[in-house]
Amino acid sequence: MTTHLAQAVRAAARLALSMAAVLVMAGGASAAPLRVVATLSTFAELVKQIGGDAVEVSYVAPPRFNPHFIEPRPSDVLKVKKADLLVHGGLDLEAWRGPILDAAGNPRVFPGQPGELDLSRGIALLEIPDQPLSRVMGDIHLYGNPHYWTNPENARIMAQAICDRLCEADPAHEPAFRRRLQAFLARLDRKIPEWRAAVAPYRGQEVVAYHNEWPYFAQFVGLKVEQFLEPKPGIPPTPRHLEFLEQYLTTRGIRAIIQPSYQPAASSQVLAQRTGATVVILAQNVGELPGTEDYFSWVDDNIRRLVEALGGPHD
Amino acid sequence: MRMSHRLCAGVLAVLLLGSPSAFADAGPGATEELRSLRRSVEALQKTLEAQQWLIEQQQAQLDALQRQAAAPPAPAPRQGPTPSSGIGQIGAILPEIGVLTDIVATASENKADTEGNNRVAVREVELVLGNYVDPYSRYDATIAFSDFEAVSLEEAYLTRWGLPWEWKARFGRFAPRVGKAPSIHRDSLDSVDEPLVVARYFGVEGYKRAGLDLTRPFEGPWGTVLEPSVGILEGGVGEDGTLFGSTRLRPTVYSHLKTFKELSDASSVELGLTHLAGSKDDDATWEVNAFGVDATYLNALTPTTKLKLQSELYVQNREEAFDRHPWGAYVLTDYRFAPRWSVGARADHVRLVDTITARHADQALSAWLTFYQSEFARWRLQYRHMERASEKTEDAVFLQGTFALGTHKHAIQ
Repeated sequence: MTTHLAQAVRAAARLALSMAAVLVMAGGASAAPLRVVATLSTFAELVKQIGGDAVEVSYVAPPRFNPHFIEPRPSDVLKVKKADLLVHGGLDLEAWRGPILDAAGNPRVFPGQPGELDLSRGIALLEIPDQPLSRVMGDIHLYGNPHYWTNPENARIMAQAICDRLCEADPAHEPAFRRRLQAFLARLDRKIPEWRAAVAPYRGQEVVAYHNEWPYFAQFVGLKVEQFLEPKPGIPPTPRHLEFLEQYLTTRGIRAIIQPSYQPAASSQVLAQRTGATVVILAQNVGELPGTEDYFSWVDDNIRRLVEALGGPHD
Repeated sequence: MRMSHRLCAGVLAVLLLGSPSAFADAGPGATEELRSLRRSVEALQKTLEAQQWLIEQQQAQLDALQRQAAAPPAPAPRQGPTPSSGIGQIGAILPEIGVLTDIVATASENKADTEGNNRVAVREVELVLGNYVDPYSRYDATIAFSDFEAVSLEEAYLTRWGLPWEWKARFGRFAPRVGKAPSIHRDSLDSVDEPLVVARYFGVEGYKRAGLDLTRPFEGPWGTVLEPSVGILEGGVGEDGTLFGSTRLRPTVYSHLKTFKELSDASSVELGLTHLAGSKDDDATWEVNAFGVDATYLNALTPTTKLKLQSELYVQNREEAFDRHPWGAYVLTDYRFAPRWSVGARADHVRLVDTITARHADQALSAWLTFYQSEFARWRLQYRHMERASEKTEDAVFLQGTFALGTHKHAIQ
């Protein structure tokens, strides 16, 4: 009887030791990089700029697809399930965000939790509806235009928000996050005047866009975008609307039609042929086009393409 | 700083203007010089005042910035209510509401007065409700109305997260994760009608039962995602389904393993295995078994085109006099060749349960063209040629309109 008791005690002690070892290992595992999932590649890039090696970041929407119409995949669900932090655009751009959250069932990143970061907070939004809305107006955005990340000025606000949240989630790396934020902002401060100077000769000019996804970028470069190939948001171009645009471009001498790579180019090409304008493919997100793999090369590339279409660089 | 500037200006003025008699004594040339100096001083005074004004403005700006830095953060500039702000959002606590309408016009050789046959029918109006109940759970319900049948409760279930080992549970009436097509709402199918194997075995409106199920995705080998699901459901199947009997008292158990592999950022392959065990009558439990295999390949060839290939096979194991292993399968393709257009086709073969006929099987070939009017409205024209087990041949043409109002959710692949 005593022998059995002693054996039981020894077994319990071994079990306790094993559990302690597991707990120690689990404690060690907390030094692993913070797992961050961003909805868009641009947000992921900003997280990478601030987080460096202390974060493991991935994104859901491949940049060469329209972020409005992503069908999340089981692999995306798994990413969100394992995430410590979900960085998203807020508003109503990512209509797939709710289903992916529900499918993942990760309470850490649910709305309002410390693991959720809505980058639209603090941004001066454009086109906030000031009248009753209806689907008669097309696929409208209820909370304002959600494409705010295309204005480099907003990168300051987004980067700051990301840094603050990373510091909260991983205080041990706070000094490194703050250093990287300062380096990013310093580089941004150097680049913004450079970008503005490149487009300065064209300030006030008007361009036409396929979809209303450039108001923030237009605000930054000082261009006007008042007409779109889509007669209403989300409604493809109609022959009648193209006829109207043909006259509009011709009478106003508009030289460029801007659109991202994922929108159909056929109607823009037809309009360009009829009016002599140039179709400019601009990347809506980091990584959408070759040579736009990081934040600065992305904006560089968009500015370069725009300047080339509007008349080439001025000395 | 302001005082010192004024002092300097005063001293300068006194020095230059304070003893005019000394200059007056020096004659008319000196007087002219004095005037010139006076003008210079006046100009200097103006410059000084302008500088003074600038300094005051900058000081005011600096004070404002310092006050702003010391004060709590100001509210976000020009920002309306956002879905995640939770401020003034009554919608955040009310149910999300969506209405999906599925209207089908059918022209067929079948003269039976059945649902939607040779007429235009509102096949289904789905009222979809749902929202978070608390931090741990969400409630979803779908109520279906039709112009041919009584109102029915399609789904009403609670999803519970945060269970041990990160499992997720559903409790209530829902579509079990069986294969691909049986668990999809009718309006989300690639074609107007369900694949025959689904309609004959699980029911013409898919498979939805009350019960409890558990699921959990995890990382598998070779970059795969594995998602096992297990559940226990009330007995029976959907309308006109023959896999199990109609008794609800004999429970059905099911298990499904989804294996998903990303091939690129645009293409993926998914393989699924399903097992169901249920009863065909009150006499026994789990004497009918069904095994299923499903495979789906998706490739978004360009941002506006997409190819889908899908197939499902179900084999039964049951005690029957004539056929102990009835089986059915379909192969489907759908190709979105333009932003607003897609074409598709499906081949069906299904052996009927315990039926003696010349052919034992229903077979069909279907082809369709879909037009996406917008994200919320879709039209589909479909032709189906069916050869029934009874040797009767039937051709049918369908025109389907599907329209959505309110909250709509993008499905997970």
